[in-house]
Amino acid sequence: MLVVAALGALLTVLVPVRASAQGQGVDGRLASRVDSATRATLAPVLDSARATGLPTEPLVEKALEGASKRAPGARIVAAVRALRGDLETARAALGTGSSAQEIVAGAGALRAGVDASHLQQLRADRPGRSLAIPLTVLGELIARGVPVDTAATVIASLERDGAADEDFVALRQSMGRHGGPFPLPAAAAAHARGAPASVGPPPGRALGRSHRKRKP
Amino acid sequence: MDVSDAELVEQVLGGDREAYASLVARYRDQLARYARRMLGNREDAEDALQDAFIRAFRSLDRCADRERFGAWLFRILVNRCRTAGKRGARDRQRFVHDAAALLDAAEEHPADRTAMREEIERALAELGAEQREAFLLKYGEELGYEEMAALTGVGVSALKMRVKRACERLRDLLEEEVESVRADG
Amino acid sequence: MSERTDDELVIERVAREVRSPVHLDAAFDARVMAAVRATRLPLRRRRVLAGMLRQRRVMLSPIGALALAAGFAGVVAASTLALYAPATKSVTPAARGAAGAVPATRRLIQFVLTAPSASRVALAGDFNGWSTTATLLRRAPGANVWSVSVPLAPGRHAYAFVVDDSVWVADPAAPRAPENDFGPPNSVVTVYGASL
Repeated sequence: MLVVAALGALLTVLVPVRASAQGQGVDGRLASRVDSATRATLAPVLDSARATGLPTEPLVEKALEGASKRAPGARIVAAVRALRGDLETARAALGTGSSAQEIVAGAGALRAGVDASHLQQLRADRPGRSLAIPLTVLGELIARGVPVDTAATVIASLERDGAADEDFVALRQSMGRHGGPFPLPAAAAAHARGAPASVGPPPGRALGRSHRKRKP
Repeated sequence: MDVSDAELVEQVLGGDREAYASLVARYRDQLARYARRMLGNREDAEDALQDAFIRAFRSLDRCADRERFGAWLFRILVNRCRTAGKRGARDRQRFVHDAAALLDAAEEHPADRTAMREEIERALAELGAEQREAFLLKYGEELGYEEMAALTGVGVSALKMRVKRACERLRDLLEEEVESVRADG
Repeated sequence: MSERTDDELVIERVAREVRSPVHLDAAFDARVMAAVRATRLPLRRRRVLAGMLRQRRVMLSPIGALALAAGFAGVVAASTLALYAPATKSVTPAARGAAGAVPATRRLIQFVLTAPSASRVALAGDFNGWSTTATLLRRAPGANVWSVSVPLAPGRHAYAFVVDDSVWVADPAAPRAPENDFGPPNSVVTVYGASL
């Protein structure tokens, strides 16, 4: 039904690697936002990342985030370095031929708590096929509260069964059309407020009678 | 909520669509439990539920005994689940279906996951639709056989046989888990 | 306690499992009621069977009902928000209508926050360089709900709200980003292509 329609309309669903001012040393966008000392410290980090073929856009965005949040320069540098490290780890686990989208999605999975060995295994199970979507879906499952091992197991088994990108997206869709099936804090509170945890009369009897009072 | 089902049905038939929302809220979770277990995943269950509520709305004037709106609605749902089961098998590949069921199971009991729960999920999926339906009505919704017969249009003795077979099959499928069942208590 | 056989224990265990409650959230109710509103009211008088008074049935497929529900989602979000939560709602381009050109590769995502006493709410994320001024939310007149819709490319996006230029607020109803590099936590929204 819905999944069939979605398959028909599916376009590229890759993690974006936005075009930025590449190859300009320190990104031009940082100039107005980050002090010169911090920029000077960041420059080699960005340059070496770029030189080794790592995507630099996430690093620039991380620095901009720190700037907007008025973080001290040292903290910005530490955060950018940490992210660069995760991107490197992701690439090592996924292989040097990995695309920027795969590396970014892989780093996201690592940050969500997935072990690098899971990334290696995914690559080993189906070499020569982009893992950007499976890794993105994996990250989202965990962000939405699925335990890391459950999410990793489910993604890995789908991968081994030969699932295509559409199948991973279909899995994500099956999690609930409202976009979040897992009890997020506010939703859980709403349940506690409004939904009966255990209904008063057993279901069999309740169905047979009209409701007079309903136990909260 | 002190308003009876019959009163709400009357209000809707009198032109107050919004009164139907109270009926939806009232029966939603109960019906969700059956549909979720019958169909094995949340998406199909929500579809079947939504379908049932809308059909019930459209033919609300045909609900003969308004005091028993719930049972009448439930029969519609049971039928929707029968249709949905067939459709779902065609549309979605098995392994996505299984993966979704695992996620649903993990989601519904995040703090209290046991391996048994996932095994039960799988075992229920192994039952034929008729056996699963009968088992869920008997043990999930705790209906009597007469009620089940009225709901499904199947005779009492046939239903008893289906329940018996379902229990046998479940035991066969789950016998390895018995030790952990003892541990679970 | 009487001795129970393993067989009985197994069935008991399964019975307990299938009796455990399954909750659907209020968004389900909204989808049903959206479809109900689009449906002709059931007639009070008894129907005449066959032939003469056969009515045209409004056949609302699940997809059709969904499209309607998406259209109503904003309205519902506003009312339920007063009770508990901001929500990140995904609004399909189709439901938005012809107005507002959204590039085909992006999807319009609505960000919403309930902030009764704020005088200014901004959205900052990796899609706007974490600017605290570029993307401001608008408040509906007389309401406590601020909102803005932003076209986002497919993928994972981190973001947060900035209230009164100083207070960083994660979206309470969205998943949290696992990393916390700078103190105030971020929220995550994942966008998938042009499919629903």
